[in-house]
Amino acid sequence: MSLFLYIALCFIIVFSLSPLAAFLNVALGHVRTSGAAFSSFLAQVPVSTILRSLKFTVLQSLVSTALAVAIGLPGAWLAAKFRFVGRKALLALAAVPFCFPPILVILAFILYYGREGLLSSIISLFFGPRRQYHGFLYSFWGLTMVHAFYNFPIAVHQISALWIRIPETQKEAAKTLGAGSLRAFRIGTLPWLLPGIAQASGLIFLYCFFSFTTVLVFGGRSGATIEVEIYHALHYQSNYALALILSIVETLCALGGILILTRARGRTQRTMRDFGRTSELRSPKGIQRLFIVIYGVFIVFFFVGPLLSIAIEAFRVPSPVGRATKFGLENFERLVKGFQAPLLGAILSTVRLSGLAAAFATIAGIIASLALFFAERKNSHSILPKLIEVFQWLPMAISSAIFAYGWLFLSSDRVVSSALVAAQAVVAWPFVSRALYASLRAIDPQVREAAKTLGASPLRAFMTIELRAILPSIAAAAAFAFSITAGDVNVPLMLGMGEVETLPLLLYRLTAAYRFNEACAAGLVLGLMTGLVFLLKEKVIDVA
Amino acid sequence: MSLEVKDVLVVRGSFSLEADFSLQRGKVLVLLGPSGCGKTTLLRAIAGLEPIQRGEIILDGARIDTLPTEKRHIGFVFQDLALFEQMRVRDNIGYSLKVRHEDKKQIQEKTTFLARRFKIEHLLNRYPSELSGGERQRVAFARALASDPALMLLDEPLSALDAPLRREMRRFIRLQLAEGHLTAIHVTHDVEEAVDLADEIIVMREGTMVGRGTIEQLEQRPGSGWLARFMNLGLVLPVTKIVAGEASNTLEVETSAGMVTSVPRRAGLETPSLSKGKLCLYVPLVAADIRESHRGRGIQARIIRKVRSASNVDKLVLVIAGIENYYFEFPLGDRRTDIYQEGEDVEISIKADLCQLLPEEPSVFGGAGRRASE
Repeated sequence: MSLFLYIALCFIIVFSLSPLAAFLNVALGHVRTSGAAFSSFLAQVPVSTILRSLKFTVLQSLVSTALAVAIGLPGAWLAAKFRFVGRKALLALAAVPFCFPPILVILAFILYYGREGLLSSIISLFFGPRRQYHGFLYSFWGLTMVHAFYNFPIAVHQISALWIRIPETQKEAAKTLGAGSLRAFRIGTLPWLLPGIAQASGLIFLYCFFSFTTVLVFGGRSGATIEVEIYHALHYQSNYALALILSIVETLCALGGILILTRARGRTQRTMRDFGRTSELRSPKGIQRLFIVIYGVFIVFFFVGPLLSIAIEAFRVPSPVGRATKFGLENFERLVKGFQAPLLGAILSTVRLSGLAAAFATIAGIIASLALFFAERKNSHSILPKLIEVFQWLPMAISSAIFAYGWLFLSSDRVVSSALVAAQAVVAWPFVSRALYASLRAIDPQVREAAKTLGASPLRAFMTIELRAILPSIAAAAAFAFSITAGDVNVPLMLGMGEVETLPLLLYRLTAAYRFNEACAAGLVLGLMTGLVFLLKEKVIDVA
Repeated sequence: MSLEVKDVLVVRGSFSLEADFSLQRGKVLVLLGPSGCGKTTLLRAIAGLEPIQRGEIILDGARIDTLPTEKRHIGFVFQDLALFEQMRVRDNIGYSLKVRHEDKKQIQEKTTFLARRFKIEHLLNRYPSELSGGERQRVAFARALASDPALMLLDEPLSALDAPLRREMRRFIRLQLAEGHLTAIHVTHDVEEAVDLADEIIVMREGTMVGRGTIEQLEQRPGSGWLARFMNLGLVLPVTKIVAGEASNTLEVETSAGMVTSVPRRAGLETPSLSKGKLCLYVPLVAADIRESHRGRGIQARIIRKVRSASNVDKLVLVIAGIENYYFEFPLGDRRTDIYQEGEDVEISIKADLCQLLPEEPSVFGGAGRRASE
C-alpha cells in the first residue's frame, strides 16, 4: 500500500512541477535556442515595473490586512465571549471568502458602493444630488476596503476560535494580584491571542497579496499588483521573461508570508490543544449589549448590504427614467432565451470543467494526504513528509497564471479547456490534501491501536476505523474543491475568454459591459451553486 | 504459567525500561508507580504497541513478542477508552468478532451476552458520545472481552472517573475479572486502587521494577525507604549514624528524628554502611503506636490534620520533628479518636525488633524481588 501511495505521490509531484517546467522552458527558450546572451533576456524585464508592482502589492496587502483585522477583532471578541442573536450568522460569514467568488463580491460592491449604488442613493439624501458623490471604489482605499470587507470574516472566525479556548483564569489570577483590567488582559490573554491574530493576518495578507480580480477591476487607477502585472505580461505583451521574473519575486515574498503563517499556526494549534475545551458564553449586559447592536448594524450595513443587493438587483428589471421600478425574472430570461443565451452554457461549462478539476484535485489530495500521514507516522523526521508539505504550499506561493500557461504550453494543441481543468486541479488539490490530513491527524492514534488489540490487521484497522472516520471529510473536501474551482475566475481569465465561458467568466463579461442586472442574475446562480456546495460541506463536517 | 516477561528492554529516546516477571493464570497483577515510571510503556510493549529491544514475552507457552499486536490475542482497555465514536455500542463490542470473521448470529449472541453481563443491553444502539462515563467504561470492557482474550491489559481505565464512580467501577472490574478467571495486568498510580484490585503488585520507578509481592509481603519487606514512603507502608526515618550494638546481633541506629534504637541485624545480610548510600529506618505500621507526648525516647511528632472519613477509617497526618517535607499518615484503627487534636504534639513509640534498616533508594526488586511463581 505504501509503495502504491509513493508511486502515486510521484505522479502528483510531476503533475505539480511539469507546468512550471513547461513555462520555464518557453520563457527561457529564446535565450537557449538563439544562443543570445542572458542580458537580452533581462532586457525584456523592466526593473521599474517589478519594483512598482512589488511596492503596490505589499502596501495594499498590509493596509488591507490591517483594516480586515481591525474590523474583525471586535467581532472575534464578541463571538468568543457572548451569547447573542446573530452570533452564529457572524461566524458563518467566514464562509463568504471561500464560497462566494471574488467576482461576485466585486459586483456586490459596485452595486452598493458605486456611483449609482445604494449607498450613493442614501448619501444623496443627506448631502444632495447623487452626481456629487463620485464613489471611492476605484482607488487605493477603495481596493483595500473591498479586500478588508471580503476578508474580515476570516479574522472573526479564526481569532474567536482561539479566544474562546483561552481560559479566564490567568486574567483573573492577575486581577487578584492587583492588576487592572488592561494589564490583566495583557498578561493573561494577549500572549495566547497574538499567535491567533498573526495567523489570521498572515492568511489574509496572502489572499490580498495574490488578489487578482479585485485589483484588476478596482486597482486600475492606483496601481497593479504583481499578479495583475503577470496577467498583463502574459495576456497582452506575451512577455514571458517579465512574467517569469515577476512570478519569482512573488513566490519569494509569498514564501516569507507562508513561513510566518505556518509558525503562527503551529503556536495557535499548540494553544488550542493545550487549552482544549471552549469556555462558556455569557449573556451580554448594558454597554456590551449596545456594542453588539452597533457592531451588528455596522456589519449588516457595510458588508451584508452589498451581498443582499445582488439578490435585489438580480430581480430588478431596468426601466426607463421616470418609470416605477419593476421586479421580475426578465434578467434571468434574457440570459436563458436572449441573444446567445449564455447562462445555460456557462452553467454546463462550470459543472463539467470544475467538476472534473475538483475530481482530479480530490483524488490527488487523498493520495497526498495519505502519503503524508503514513510517511509521518513511519518517521516524522524523514525528508518525505517535509517534501509533501512543501508541495502543498506551492499553489499559495506560485501565481496561478504560471500554472495556467504552463498547462497551456503542455497541451499539444493548446486546448484551453484541458489546460483549465489541469491548472484548477493543481491549484485546488492542496486544499483537499490539507483538509484530509488534518482530519487524519485528528483521529486519536489509540483508536487504531485499540482496533489492532482487537485483532484487526493494520490494513483492516485503517479501512474500518481511520478511512471510515474521514469519509465525511473526503466528501466535504471534494465539495470545497468544487467550490474553489467553480468560483475561480483567475485561471479562465488568464487562458482567454473565447473558447470556454464559465459562470465567473460570464459574470465578468456582463459586469465589464455594465449589464449589472443580468450580471447579478448570473451571480445569484453562481452564488447559489458554490454556496450550496459549501453549505453541504459545512453540514457534512458538522455530522463528522 | 500464563504470562512470562523475560528480560525485556524497551528504549524510547532517553528513557529505558527493563522488566522481568511472570504471572499465573487467573491472577490480577497491578503495576503501580508514579507518573512517568514506565507502567504504560510496559503494558504497551506486552500488547505489541511498543517495540522491545531485548527479551521475550510468552503467553500460555507461546512466544508472542515476535507477533504483531493483532495476533497476540489480548484485550486492552485504554486510559481514554478509545471507543470507536463512529460506531454504535453494538458494533464496538462486536468489532473483534467481526474481524475474526465470526458468523453474524454468533456475533449477535456474544454481543447480547456481554451487554447483559455488563448491564448495557439498553445501550446497544447508541453511539459512544451518547453514553455517560461509567457506561463508556463498561462498553470498553465488554469490547475488550468479546474475543475471550488470554490476557487483559488495563491502562488506568478509571483515571478519568470521579471518586464514587471510580470506587464502583473498581468493584465491578474485580468482580468481572474474578468471575471470568481472567489473567490481567492493571496499571495505576493509586495505591488504594492497587491494593483493592491486586493479587500481586509490582512497584515501578524510573523504568525499573523496584518491588514485588502481595501487599502483606511488601509491608513486611518493602526493600527501600522510597517504596515504603510511596505506599505509606510505615514510618520512614533517615538514618544519620549506625554503630554496632552491645549485643552482637543488633545495630544502634540514630535517625534524623534524633532517636537512637537497637535494630536487629538481618541474618544473611552484611552490616549496612552509611558510606554505601543513604539508609533509613523503616517502622511498619504494626510496629508503631501513638501516645501523648512525654518528651520520652519516642519519636516526637505533631498532628497537623485529623482526617475522618465516612467509613470511619480515621487517620492522623503527622509531621516528624527534625524531618522536613514528610507527612506521615497514621491510621488510628481501633484507637480512640477523640483524644487527638490538630496542633497537638504526640509521641510515636516503636517496637524496635520489627524495624528494618533499608537503603533509601530502591534497587531492582530490592526487598521483595521474587517471581510470583515462586
